[in-house]
Amino acid sequence: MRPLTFLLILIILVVSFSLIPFGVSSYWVRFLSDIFMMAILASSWNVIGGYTGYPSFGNVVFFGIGAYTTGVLMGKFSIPFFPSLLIAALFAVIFAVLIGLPVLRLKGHYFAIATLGVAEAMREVVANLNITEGNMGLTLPIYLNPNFFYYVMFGILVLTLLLTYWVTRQRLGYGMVAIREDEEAAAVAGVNTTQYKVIAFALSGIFTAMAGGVHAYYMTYIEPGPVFNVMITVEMIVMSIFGGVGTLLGPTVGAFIIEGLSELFSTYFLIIHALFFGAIVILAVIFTPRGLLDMLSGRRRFGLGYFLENIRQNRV
Amino acid sequence: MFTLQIAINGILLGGLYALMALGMSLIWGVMNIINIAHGAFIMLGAYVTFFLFRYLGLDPFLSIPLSMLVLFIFGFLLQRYLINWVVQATMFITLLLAFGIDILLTNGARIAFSANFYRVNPSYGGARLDLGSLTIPEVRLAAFLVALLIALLLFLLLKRTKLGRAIRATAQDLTAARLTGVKVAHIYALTFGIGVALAGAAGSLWSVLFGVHPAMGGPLTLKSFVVVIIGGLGSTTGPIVGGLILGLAEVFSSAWLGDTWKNVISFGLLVLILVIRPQGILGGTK
Repeated sequence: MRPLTFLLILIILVVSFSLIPFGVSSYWVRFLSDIFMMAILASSWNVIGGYTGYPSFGNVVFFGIGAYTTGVLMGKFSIPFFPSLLIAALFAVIFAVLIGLPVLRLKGHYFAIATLGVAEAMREVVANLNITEGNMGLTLPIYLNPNFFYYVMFGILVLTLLLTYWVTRQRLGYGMVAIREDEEAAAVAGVNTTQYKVIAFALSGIFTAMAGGVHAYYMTYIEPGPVFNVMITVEMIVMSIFGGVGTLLGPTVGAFIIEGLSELFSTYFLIIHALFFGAIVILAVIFTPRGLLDMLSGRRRFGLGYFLENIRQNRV
Repeated sequence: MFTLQIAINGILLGGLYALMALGMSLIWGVMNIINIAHGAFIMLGAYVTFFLFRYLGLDPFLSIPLSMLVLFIFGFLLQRYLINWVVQATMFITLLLAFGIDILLTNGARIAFSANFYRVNPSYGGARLDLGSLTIPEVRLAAFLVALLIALLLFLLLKRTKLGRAIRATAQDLTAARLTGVKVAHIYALTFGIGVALAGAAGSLWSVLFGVHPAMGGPLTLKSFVVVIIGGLGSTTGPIVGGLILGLAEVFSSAWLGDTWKNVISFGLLVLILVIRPQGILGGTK
């Protein structure tokens, strides 16, 4: 995307979304805040899973770390919200480096399972620590202001997209894509693959952790199970795939469509809402494995043939 | 003596873990699919046994072949008419598809069977063997032996039959197998069916030992991962060794550190093994 086009899209979005809370009820403000949160998570996953080609199945670990760092700092040490949020992001970076160095040596399935294992292990550790109150859950100071959370989430989303856009036009971004296409060739061409992969992992952790921190403050009460829930990782990946893996705006588009539909659906059909999400996952991976943006890009003709071709390519 | 008792508990538990992981290891090894819905299939097997026990009074051990048959048919159709569409796509597409199936099965079970926890408790449920100061619950011993028997049957199927040879050939080289006349789509469906049937058997045994509820699958999927990774892919003995190691690690860590730490230990073990020796303890060079 050309810088000017991107800037224009961004300005239009920022202006229009900044005005929305003035015109709608707090239900819609919350609804959009949730979508922003999922868009942050999916876009962040896209940095490691999409651009770098390392499909992390444990990215929720950053969300949980962010939520719990913020929660402990605010709830136990009475540190204000924004400093807590920054410390949470810092923790996520440190964690990404420590875990990334050994785990990013693995590839494919093994990387996926290892990251899943890290997230599950972290949930169990948090459930066993005293400072996090274990499975009892942690209470944060109460602050009831939907508009505040709306703007903070939206701000983080804009930051995420800006940073992703900037990174993909740097040496780092090209290095990440080179690693995805052929890691050995990238290494031979002079890309410091270990360093780049760890940086990409940390980048995908920073904003995920911040979203986790905002989520914790917004919920005012967190437990290890929900904030380390593997389903959150799945949602990130599904949204990225649905919108388009390795594209700048794909994950955000995916988040808006899937989270939007799923939220609307859950309002009307409480029980079968989960079934709906399962069906979406299945349909998305079978019919649009390359994402919505590819489907609409016009590179291949759109229609029934498009879906059949995807299936024909991937079946036995 | 206390340590020996813990070790026996761990080994008996490990046999069941091994059976759980056999199916996952088979599907992973042959089709390169990480079946994240594995735990959901275990859950379905457990429900088959539970319903047969509750409404027909069928002995849970006798219902194992039935639950295997039901799950085999289900798995076969699922592979043939759904998973087969994306089986050649990148790995995380199949992984996600399995996740979608898992969500549907788990939530479907919650709606159809309610979220209640049920137990299958046959009259002999409490019987135990006393050997000096050691006690061995008979049901657990029986479950252990059944698990080993099924593992042995799988081993014979893979090594001694024509179907087994076709499965192994497909696992080694899809194109070469196809060129020699193997109907790979059919073999994939059979393999998936067998893997899911093994999950069904594990579920039947699990229902007797630990009960049934719709959300039981998630933790069992993760345990199966740990076992498969520890043991390594590509052999029938791998999951057995991995199962025993996980069983022992769990009982010893909960005896020494407390019950809540046992999952930290098993997931820590998973990550550690992956980092140090990703091919698993028994796996060959990659």
